[in-house]
Amino acid sequence: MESRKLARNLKAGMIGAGSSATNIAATIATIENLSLVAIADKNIDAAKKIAAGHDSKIVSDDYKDVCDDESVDFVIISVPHGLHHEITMYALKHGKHVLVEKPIATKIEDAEEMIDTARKKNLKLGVHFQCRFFDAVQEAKKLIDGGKLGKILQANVSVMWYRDDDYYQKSGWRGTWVLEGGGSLINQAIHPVDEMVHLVGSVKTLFGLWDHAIHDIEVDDLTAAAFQFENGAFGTLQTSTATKAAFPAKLTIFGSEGAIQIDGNILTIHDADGKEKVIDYAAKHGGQVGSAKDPSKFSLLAHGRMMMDFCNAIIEDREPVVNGEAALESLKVVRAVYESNGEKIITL
Amino acid sequence: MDSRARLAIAGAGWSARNIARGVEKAANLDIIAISNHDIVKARNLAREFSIPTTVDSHLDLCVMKDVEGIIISLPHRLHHPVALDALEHGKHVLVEKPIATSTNDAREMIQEASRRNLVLGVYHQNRFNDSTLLAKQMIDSGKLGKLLLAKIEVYLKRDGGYFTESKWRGRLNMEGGSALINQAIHDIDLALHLIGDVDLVAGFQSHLMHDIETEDNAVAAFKFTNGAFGTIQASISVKTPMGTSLTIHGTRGAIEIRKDSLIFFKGDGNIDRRDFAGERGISSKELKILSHGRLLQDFSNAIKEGRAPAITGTDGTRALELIESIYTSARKSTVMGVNHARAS
Repeated sequence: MESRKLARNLKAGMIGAGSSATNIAATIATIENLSLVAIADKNIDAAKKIAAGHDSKIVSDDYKDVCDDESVDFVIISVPHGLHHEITMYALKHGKHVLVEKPIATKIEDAEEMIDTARKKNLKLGVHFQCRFFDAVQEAKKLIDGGKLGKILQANVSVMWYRDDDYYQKSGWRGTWVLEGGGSLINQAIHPVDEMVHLVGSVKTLFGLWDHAIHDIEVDDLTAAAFQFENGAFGTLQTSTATKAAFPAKLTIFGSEGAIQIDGNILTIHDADGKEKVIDYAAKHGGQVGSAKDPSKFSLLAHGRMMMDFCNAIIEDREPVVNGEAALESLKVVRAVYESNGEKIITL
Repeated sequence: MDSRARLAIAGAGWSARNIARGVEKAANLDIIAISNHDIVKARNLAREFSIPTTVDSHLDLCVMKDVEGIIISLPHRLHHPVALDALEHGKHVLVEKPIATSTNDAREMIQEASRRNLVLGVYHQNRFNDSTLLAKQMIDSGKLGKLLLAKIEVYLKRDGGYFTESKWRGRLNMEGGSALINQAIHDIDLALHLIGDVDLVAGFQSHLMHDIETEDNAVAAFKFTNGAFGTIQASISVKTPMGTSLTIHGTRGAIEIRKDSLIFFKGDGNIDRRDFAGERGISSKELKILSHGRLLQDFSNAIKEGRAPAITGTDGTRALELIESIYTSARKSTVMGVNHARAS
């Protein structure tokens, strides 16, 4: 078991008490010297439910109550995408470090303001891309940096999933530009897009297409794009929430000497001899990774590592592994697809 | 009238051998002559496949009275002039893919064949694969629901010798391109055949590994007229040859089409896997030759019946139209409209 003890006490406040917040709260409970002292959600019952297990002294329906409390060291923001910017800015202005859910924001200028403000105030801004802490991703990074794949030639992100009409219609925020900021790409596919830019590098130019093919929503349930990375490699992506024949979400990276595929916490290595090696880290860790169909089981191990890194960044006064700049890269790709819209090639 | 078509092959390379093997599977034609610049190669093939006449120029084939049609299996750039020579001499033409290295050249070939009332067919043999025929049925009968996306993946290994030992590959004026126009063209043709025409496209291409003028890596995204999207990923510089595939996603299901298999991913999570070589009890090489045989038989019947072949010049130009648009898009860094010529 990896160490889950902080060098000093930290107190977290949480804004938003949905399914993702429940996972984060469960993670906090596993870390020694970390406590969840405040929680807010417009739905006060949801806030109370999480607070019950954490001895939280503040339970409110107003996020400002969490940010205003002096005992809170940092806030975790787990609310609809479109609210990330406003709440992060409020928290930073009130001196709180911020760990915000993915995506960092729905607009690039919002994300840049968040990054600038955190830097000026010498506060930590972390973004919850816990997949970067998967063993599969970390091993992939080692393989690529060690030259095992040769020259990186191409990457592909494929997230072909299904969400039913209720998923959009019964949610107060999904399917809208203002609150979700996109659909299948910004919500379902952002993790492998983040892993891709982490492993291959920044995207330079992109052509993208998006549509709401079957759902009555403003945003995308289908996207496709082709692009070129700064380093010259090429990439494509396909995302959807409109196909009932759902495939595993996959990031594939092709090098001159071999290829790798990342599916959650499973790493498949194709070597130059055509041999295939599958390393299932999820199974190794006792099945702590769920599928995207069951996000409640999403790796608490990776959540734990993410939270430890962010807390240690505060304690050691260093940047967290996934800081605002790192998280901006995937948002740039997402926004470029939406802006390209089959009409133009975007330079990022 | 003799019911067997008498054809000749112009070219005696690797691809001509596959054609000759395909002829053995077709019941209605004979190859009565073969030409090649390097006549030794032509003689070798002639001996192996009992072809009676060997010449060193396609022009000699053009003047042979008994030859009804010429199958063109030459470097891409030669497709156009050789086809025009053949048509001018009243020969029907079956041309290897790509039909030409530019759509302008292709259109000239189409016009010339039409004017002379000759059959012009394009050699996209994968249209006749068991997997393609089944995919077409499934899509047309609505098994996939509304079509959403076509994903073309081409990951092949073409090592140094493939280019360095060739007089024409890797050269822009002879091959006209590489990964897209030579390798990916098969699956691009299938996607257009199965889903329909494309309205717009943009892509990126370069030679990342090989010292060539043409591209060894390319990607593109495009939109079909029916609203579905498509992507192309093509590389011929990977040491791990993961092969070629076309995956078509619909609202109700998806199919992954390979040369000798088709996997049907159903909406309920079940998977149906068809392995056509296995089902026929033959090797995948033999299965490939069956498709050649079907195409050759169709072309010969078209000549005998005075009808259009399954893959006409216009139909066989569609993949080239998309590929040419990708090349232009990459060069100009702009989105390209794709104007598919319609069969008149």
